[in-house]
Amino acid sequence: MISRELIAASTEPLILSLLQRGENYGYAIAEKVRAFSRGEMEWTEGMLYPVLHRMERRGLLKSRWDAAENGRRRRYYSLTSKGRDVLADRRREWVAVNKTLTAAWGT
Amino acid sequence: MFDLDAELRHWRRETELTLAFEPDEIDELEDHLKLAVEKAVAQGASPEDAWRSASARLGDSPPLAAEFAKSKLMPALFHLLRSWWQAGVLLVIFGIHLSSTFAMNWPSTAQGEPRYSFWIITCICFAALVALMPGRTARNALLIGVGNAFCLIPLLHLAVYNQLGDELIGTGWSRMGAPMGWWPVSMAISGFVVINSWAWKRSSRTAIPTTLAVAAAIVLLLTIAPFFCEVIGYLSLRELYHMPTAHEIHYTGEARNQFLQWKFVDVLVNSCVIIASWVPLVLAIIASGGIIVLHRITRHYRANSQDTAPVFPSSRDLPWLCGLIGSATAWFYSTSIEPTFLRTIRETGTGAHHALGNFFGVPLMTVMSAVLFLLCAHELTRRLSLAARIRTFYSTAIVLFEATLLMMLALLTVFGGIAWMDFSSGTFMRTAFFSVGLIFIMSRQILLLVQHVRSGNVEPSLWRFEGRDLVRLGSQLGLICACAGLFLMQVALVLAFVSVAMISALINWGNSIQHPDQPFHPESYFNAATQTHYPTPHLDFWIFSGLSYVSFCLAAGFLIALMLSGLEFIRFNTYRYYKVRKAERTRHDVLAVNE
Repeated sequence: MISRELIAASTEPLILSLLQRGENYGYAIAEKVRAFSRGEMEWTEGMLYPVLHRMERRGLLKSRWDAAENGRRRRYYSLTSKGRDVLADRRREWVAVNKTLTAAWGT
Repeated sequence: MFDLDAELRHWRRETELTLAFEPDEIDELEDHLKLAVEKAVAQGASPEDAWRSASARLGDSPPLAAEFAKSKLMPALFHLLRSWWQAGVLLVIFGIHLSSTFAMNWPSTAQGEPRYSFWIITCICFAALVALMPGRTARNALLIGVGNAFCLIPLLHLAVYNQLGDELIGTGWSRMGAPMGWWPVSMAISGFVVINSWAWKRSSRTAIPTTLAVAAAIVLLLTIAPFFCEVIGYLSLRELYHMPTAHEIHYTGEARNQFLQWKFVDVLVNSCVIIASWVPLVLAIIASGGIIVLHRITRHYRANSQDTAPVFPSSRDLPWLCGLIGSATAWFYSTSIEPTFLRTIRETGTGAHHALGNFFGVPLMTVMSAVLFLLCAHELTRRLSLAARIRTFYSTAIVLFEATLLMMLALLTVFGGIAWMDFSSGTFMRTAFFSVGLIFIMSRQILLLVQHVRSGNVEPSLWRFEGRDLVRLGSQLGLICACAGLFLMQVALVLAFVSVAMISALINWGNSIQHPDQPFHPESYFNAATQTHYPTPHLDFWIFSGLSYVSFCLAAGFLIALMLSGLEFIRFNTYRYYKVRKAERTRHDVLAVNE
């Protein structure tokens, strides 16, 4: 299991990365995170939404309501250009951290 | 048999009650839940298990609400007023205060000049409280508690005071409406039966006995309270409470005799009337609220989480709120119901005393808090461009202008004339200005509502161009600062009161040393009081005036919060209504396309 702090720190880059592949909705994002982490990252799924909304307010994401295949309303999120810039920054940071840790453990 | 739809409805209702979510957010969470359940069912789980695991993974409602509420407007007030009943109870305190100030006109009432304003205020307070109670059980508990208190009082009074002889009963009943004979008693009995049979059907079974017991206890206590006060000492509770406001009762040199006479007659007979009229109503409201409070608290403790029901005032509501408060204040003023503090200032001032009375009061404080609110409506975390600053200034000016306009209308409503010293205008002018104010407020609100519905945007339209973040942060800071400002003003006033009280206490102490034959005794306050309309400030006067004033300010502050939260509720539901209709339309469109 991954610690809460690390999950909290990685949530935003994770969401940005997942949305890089195209727009998506909350449940699918949560599912993908579980699939990618093979169950290592346990979220309280409801907490995903306040994060998404905050990111939207900060201009990293934009959202639209659309009718899903079963006629229900669903909110789809996608990246903005600012979101892409931030993702690039975060990616650089995480790669740097990863490299540093790998190097440290390799010695 | 497990019913998924019923579970979803229940979950939705619980979630909505926290008031931390916008309707869209609940829709989103609901869709999430449905998807999770559908997937689990498709994989072979039973609907019940699927629901349980899906809702567990989504998270408990209260922590979720807390998380969602973080991004809302009012975290500070959200913690202060966790839910509406607290605001409701405070509203009632406000009512009590007004009642106590009303009571200073009691002698004139007893002499056949009934005043109905108190009743109107109490009824409004009560109606507001009932309307704002979240959930049917809460509303019912309130209605039952108050209803029972009302029905029990005439019966118990009859039982208790009958022991005192015909004379007292005669006086008591004549003031309580004896011309109606035994009607009150028969009405009380039938009311008691009707209310409780109605309640038994409608409310949850646990809530009713508790409410009944509390209402009965209140009534019993109030009925015997005058006798207790007689036994315990010189002053009854009611007298103590009314002392700071009872300016029409002169504490003159021969007060001792007058006081005793007044006390015996008044406590034994008048108390019945007062108690039978407003005290039970107010206390029953509080007690019924208390039950709900306890109920909610225990429930939430059981859920091992925190009750989270925020209020979200918005800057849009500020101007008309100022107008409303201004109107209310002016109205209280015109009906001689106002805090002693303001009255003192008004009546002891010279020359411009009317101006002082009118403007150095709640209206001024309201406007000041509005100014504070707006001054603070700036984005503090980043530098603003010049254009953004100008926009802020512009919107601030609009809101202030509206607030001032409404305040002026409210004052004109009362005084009927623009000239400073001309307060003699008639009812016609007052009514005219009142109508103009009402029309202004109503049309503005309707206009805004239409705009919001059309745009589907819940943000205040006036502020929309500032950007959502700015509005949120600004409103938060603004209201916190406004509250802080009001609080500081109150602290300053309390300090002033306390220092005066201490000085007068010292003087009294000095006097008692100089004149050892006149030992220091609470009674001496009455004996030593001067012949003036307002006695020289004594410890009790200042302390009670101070308390009275603080309770007024505090209650007024919370009243603002309550009103804002009520508005938010209306806005929230209107918005939801249109969203749901829109969603239904979309669904129909989709179905039509599929067909």
